[in-house]
Amino acid sequence: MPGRAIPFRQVVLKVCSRCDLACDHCYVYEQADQSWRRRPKVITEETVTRTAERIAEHARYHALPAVRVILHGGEPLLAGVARLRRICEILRREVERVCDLDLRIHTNGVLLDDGFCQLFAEQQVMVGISIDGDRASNDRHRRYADGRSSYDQVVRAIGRLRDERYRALYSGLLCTIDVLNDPVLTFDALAALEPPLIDFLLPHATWDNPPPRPGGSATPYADWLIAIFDRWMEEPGAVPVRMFESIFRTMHGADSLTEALGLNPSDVVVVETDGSIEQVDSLKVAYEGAPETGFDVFRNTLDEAAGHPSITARQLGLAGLCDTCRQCPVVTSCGGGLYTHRYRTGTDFDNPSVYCADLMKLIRHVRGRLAPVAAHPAQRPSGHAIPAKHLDALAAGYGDDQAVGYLVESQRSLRRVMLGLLREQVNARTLTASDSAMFNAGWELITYLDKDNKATLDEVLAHPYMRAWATHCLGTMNASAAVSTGDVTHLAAIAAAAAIRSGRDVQLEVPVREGGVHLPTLGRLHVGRAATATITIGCDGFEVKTEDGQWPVALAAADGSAQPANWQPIRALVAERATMALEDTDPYRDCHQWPAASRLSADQAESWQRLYRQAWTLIESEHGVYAPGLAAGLSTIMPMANDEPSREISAAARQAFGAIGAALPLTADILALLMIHEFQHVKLGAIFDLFDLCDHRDRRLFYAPWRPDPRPLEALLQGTYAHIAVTDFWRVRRHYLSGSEAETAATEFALWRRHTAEAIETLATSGSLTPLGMRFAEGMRATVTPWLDEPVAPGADDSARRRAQRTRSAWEERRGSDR
Amino acid sequence: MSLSVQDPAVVSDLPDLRDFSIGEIASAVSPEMADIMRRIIIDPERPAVSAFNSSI
Repeated sequence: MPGRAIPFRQVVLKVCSRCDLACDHCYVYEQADQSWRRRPKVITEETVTRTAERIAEHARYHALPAVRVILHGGEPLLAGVARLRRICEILRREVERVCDLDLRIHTNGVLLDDGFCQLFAEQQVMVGISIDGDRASNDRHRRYADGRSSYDQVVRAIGRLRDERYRALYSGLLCTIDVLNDPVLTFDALAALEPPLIDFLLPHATWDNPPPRPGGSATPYADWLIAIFDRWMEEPGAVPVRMFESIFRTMHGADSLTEALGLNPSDVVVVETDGSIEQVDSLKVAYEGAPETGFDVFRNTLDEAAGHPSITARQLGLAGLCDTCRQCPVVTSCGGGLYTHRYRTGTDFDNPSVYCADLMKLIRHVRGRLAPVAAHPAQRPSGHAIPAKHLDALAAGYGDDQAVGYLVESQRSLRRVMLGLLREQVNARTLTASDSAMFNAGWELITYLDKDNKATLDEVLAHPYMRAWATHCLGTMNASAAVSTGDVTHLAAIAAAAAIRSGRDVQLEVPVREGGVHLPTLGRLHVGRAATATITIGCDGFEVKTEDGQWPVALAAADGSAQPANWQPIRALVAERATMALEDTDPYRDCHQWPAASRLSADQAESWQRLYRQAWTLIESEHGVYAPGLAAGLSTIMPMANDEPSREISAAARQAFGAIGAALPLTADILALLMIHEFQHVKLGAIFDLFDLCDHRDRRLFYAPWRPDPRPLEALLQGTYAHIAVTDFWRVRRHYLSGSEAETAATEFALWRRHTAEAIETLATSGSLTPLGMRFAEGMRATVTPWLDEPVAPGADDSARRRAQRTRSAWEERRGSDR
Repeated sequence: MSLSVQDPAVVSDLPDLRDFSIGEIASAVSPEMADIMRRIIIDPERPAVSAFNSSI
């Protein structure tokens, strides 16, 4: 399975291989690997230059915007001010030709005087310091070789960094945990030093050399960290703690801030004082030579090192973990712990962390203390929940109205949060006075209707392209400070639509886009070239006024009142038990991969209605298992443009829950198939909104039998889920047809069951499905496996086999030519 | 999204805000909420799954 190399974004550069302290917990000198004895004491200028050139080469090749280089040791300050200055100059000269350089140093601090601080200020080098807490805690390990304490020197160094002159250089404190120390005293002592960040480090250990567990506790490290966490939570605004922040972030799918947690691919490489390119230092505790790659900066590029199997093994996310970890409910936060801590002779790194029980307890405690959102202090909300039986029905490829109802309800929350975020982001920016007034009036009306007529407002917010609009606005604002104000003022149109549906007397300004006033769920009024329009709403309709004219629109034209010719209402597609909107006016509907059709003529709309009614009848009669879910979750069909009438086109979009797009096919059975197929994508997209089914950091690409190109895992899952329904459609349909049509249907069934079953196994064996993702794979497998035994005509099976082989061969050929 | 399995329901960390007013939500947008939404709606790392098409 092809994939892209993951570049290094952090380089640890060993500038000195010796240390002036003799800490007994140090992984460099006190553990299995003793390679420091063979290294040059101090890095040479030649090695620094070659390293800098390699970094620049790597950054250029991968178009990296920035690289972090951490000067490290041993004790890097032993290199002296002059040599460190030269090192910084060389790195800046070479690397900054290509990208930004984030230069840092990590030190024990005992030598940090004004000379070093001035150098770091000149060279903009951020400084991190190791200290293990208060004097007693620190002195337990961090001593000179003669047993003297280092505490006073370290605190003095930190004092320099807290001084106004150097405060900006102070990057944080690193504390190695010793559970014999009092956790709260340790934390308070560190916090009193006012660091911008505290990093707690579990003492490096493996299954061969487990960490000390004094007192016989099974989880002393969790207990120690939990005591600090609870103390930390008491003080809003307390100093950030990297470990806790990482657990928060990974709870919500964001990246961890440390390689000791989470599923992020490792992007760190080490260059030793002799130019050797090595893996992370902590591996030194595993066995002699564990960090070695056999590469060096004189003979090898960093890309060669990036392809080293031991380095790529730490970039596989979920797929790189042992079976126990992959099934673990906290794996997204834990990530199997630090790679080094998994080592055991015999099974190497294919184990949970030696800190597994501690990490499990800590993460569960943190998750338990945190509501998913810090909203109202008195009523923090719980997360959306789906009963297991409904989730399993969805996993099997089905899901009735109740199961889909849970997805619909979760989308209500999602849209409310989107509006909240949009309001926050708009507030943080400067709009023109008129746009600001329009947005704020829309916001006020929406918050009023939220209290006054929530059900009707929710109907408008549930419009599929409301989410597409909000996504567009948030994405635009996220990417740039420049806001497309015409987009955000659409909020006023949404508010107006809700007010019209509520029959509330109100007047407000709304934007005009492409000559029209767009009222989601209602329709579009063409008004000409004006930029804005005034809309006056009454109990039975509304009136739109611009500088060019004035148009009254009656809400229910059933009373026979004439509608203005420029009013284009949303038409309904009506069947006995499922009415859907035929959406051909919304300005944000063009979010699918095929372009939207323009406003349909009356004849075209009538063709849609005729075919839709037939298709729905067919769905209910032949594919009834899908009908309740479709009726509950599919509200909108968006006509698509199609310049090849014989080609069948359909699409779903993650940001348009409730809608599918399609070009009107030739027959009702194909429309039924398109609806069933695309709604699978809609369902699974909403499930993705709620849960991680796979490790999205897995960048491998996989064979998808229905595509010419290899696909990422999540896309393969989407395609597989959709093709369960395609297979099922032909499985059933073939029994309702005769002659050549029945043969074609049988062949389609035979082909798609083969393709879908193969894709399910690809997913199940990828190693990158979460426990819930595996539950989906097992559900899909349980649906499809019995179909493999259903008899079909030998000709159909042979034809399907040949087609499947051709597809696979063509893919293999393309894959070969791409190499 | 992370999840906790509490049979018989599977619980998402997408908060259930149906009973919260939009005004309340807007005044309490938190980093965690922003993280959740950033992941769902505007994650540029996931373009491959933002839209689907099929030509059956």
